[in-house]
Amino acid sequence: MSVIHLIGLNHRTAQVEIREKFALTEFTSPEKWPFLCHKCCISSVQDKLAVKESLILSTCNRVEMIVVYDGNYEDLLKVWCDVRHADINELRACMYHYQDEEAIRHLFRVASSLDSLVLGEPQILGQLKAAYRLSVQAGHAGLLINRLLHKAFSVAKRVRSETAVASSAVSISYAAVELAKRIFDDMSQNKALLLGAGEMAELAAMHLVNSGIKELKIVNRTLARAEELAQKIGGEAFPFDALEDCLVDTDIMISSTGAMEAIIHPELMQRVMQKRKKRPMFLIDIAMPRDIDPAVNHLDNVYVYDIDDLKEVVEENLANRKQEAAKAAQIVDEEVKAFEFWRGFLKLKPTILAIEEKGDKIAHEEVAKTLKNLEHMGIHSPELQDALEKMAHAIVKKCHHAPLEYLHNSYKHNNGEQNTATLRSILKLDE
Amino acid sequence: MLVTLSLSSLLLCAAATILFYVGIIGKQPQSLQKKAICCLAVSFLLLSLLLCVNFIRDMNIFVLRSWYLIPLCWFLLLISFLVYYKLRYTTVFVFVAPLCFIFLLSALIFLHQEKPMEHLVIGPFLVVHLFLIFAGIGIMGVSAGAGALFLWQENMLKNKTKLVNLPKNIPSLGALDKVIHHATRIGFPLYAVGLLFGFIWAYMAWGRVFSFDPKEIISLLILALYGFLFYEREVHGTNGRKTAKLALLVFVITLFSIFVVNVFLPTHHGF
Repeated sequence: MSVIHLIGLNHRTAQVEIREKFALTEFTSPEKWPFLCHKCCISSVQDKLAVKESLILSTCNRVEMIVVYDGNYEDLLKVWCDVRHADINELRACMYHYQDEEAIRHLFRVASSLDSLVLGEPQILGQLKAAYRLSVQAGHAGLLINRLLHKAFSVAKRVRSETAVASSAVSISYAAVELAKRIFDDMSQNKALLLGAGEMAELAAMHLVNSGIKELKIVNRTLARAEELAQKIGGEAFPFDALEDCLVDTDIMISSTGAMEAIIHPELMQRVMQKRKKRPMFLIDIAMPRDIDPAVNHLDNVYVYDIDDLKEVVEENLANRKQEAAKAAQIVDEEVKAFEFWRGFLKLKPTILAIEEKGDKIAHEEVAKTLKNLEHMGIHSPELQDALEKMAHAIVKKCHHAPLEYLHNSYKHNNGEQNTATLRSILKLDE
Repeated sequence: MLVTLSLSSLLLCAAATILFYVGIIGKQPQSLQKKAICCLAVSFLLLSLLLCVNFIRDMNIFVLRSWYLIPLCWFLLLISFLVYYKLRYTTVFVFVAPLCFIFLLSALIFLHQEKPMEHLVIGPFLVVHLFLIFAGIGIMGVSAGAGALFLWQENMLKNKTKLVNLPKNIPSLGALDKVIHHATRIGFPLYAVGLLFGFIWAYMAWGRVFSFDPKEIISLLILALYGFLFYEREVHGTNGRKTAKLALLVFVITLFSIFVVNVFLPTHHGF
């Protein structure tokens, strides 16, 4: 049976310089594929290696190839180094090689984002789907790769729906947006204010804009800088003097000024809250030193989060994801077993065919003998021949049912190969 | 048959409660909450059948202690399903399911301690009074559920403690506030008009509008608090923690009125 090899390097085993050196991102079209599939009859391409099936996944954090190949995996390394004009020893020093069950497990973990730099990030699944599409286009996805990748996608889906491995925000700006969604009913009805025009605030504001915020105001001591930013991310610039008026009409504020002391005090916020009929406000303070007096958080319907609070949220979320990863690993193990079980059935297929073939042959021979004897007795009709053939095949089929069922079951109990060999020798299938 | 129906409803409410809370503790609310909602839906249908049969058979039964609680439970479920149909908020059921369980359990316990109401005069005023009061309390229950969820979530967001434990599918503070707002807007007028019909019926039954009965006094207190909540929300636009607390307080006093005043105090509402 064909062997599944998975060779690769990732963010854990190789530095970015090495990953760059061995990246296979340029193999984005089937013509540039480094392998020759046995199905593609381009025999003139002598320098390419004939593998049964292959898939290449090349992202910024990992370069991996899944290859169904009966030869030595060293051949695959040589091809990889040849196409990248790199030293094979350098590759050996930072790569990993998995085979069969371990290769399947690794792929399922990658698809479920359990092997990602940021645990649970969703991009890897999209990248894997793109890699699979390319493999299909190149004609390199056969029975195993097709089944393996479809299974990997379903495992990833199961992990996402049954565990919380990808559920919570793990970046500061995304955590801020997630918190805002906890406070407000409909983000598209909320107005945001950016106080100060620092880089971090700009990033957080971009997340807010992307989550469909209704309106964005930018208040800065230097109006020109506010106008510049307003033009860049889409918003309206206001001078610093207009801060209080702007706050009255704001639901979410991100503050990141360079002020040396707090500029948002409880007194100011009390006035603002009075004017806005105590509608809730979410204030995000990412300035250092802080722009918002922590006492503001004690006011009703005002929620103040500074950079440390957001970091804490992110750390809690990361810890939670790690906890959930253990549950996800269990799911992966279950699915690996199921896939290996299916592969076991593939091994059974030639034996089933041989048994059926032999049975059909015996049935045919015996029917022919019986018909000959009947003919001597003067009995002959096409209907009789038809009925005898049907009966003989039915008997053979019924006789084979029990041993085949026994083989199926023995694959479930991990002694399938041994029992298949025994059955083959009992039925003399190899003679 | 009636006991079987109410017992089945009770068991379904218990199952729904267990499923909701097991789902929350096991952090898999999505998979179990559908089953829990199905249990509540079947329970609601059984209660509807039970009420129809009783309404046809004998209207007097509704002023017996046990049967007083069953329509209340039915209204609570009805309002919850309306909220679910309109807004797709499933978390209100987390509060409503155990409440319905308590109502139905109490109804079954009270079944053998019936004490008919004195000078009972059944008439359209009594029917309208009961219908509107039950609807008002049902809506009040849903807004109290939203209020409890609001306070819990708000407390976690304010104190920034273990936010990771907040279930994903809890509606935002804004959404819960909206539920309280709409519930108060509809619930208070129903309750007020229901009470008015009650006073009219009291005049017809006992010859006086108000008799300083403990139930009447507490009902007026509830009306005043409910009215204050309505006024604050509609006139001053008060929202957030204050309205959530008020919604919860109004319902807690209502529960006190149902389970303590009706049962333990000398009142002509002691059915």
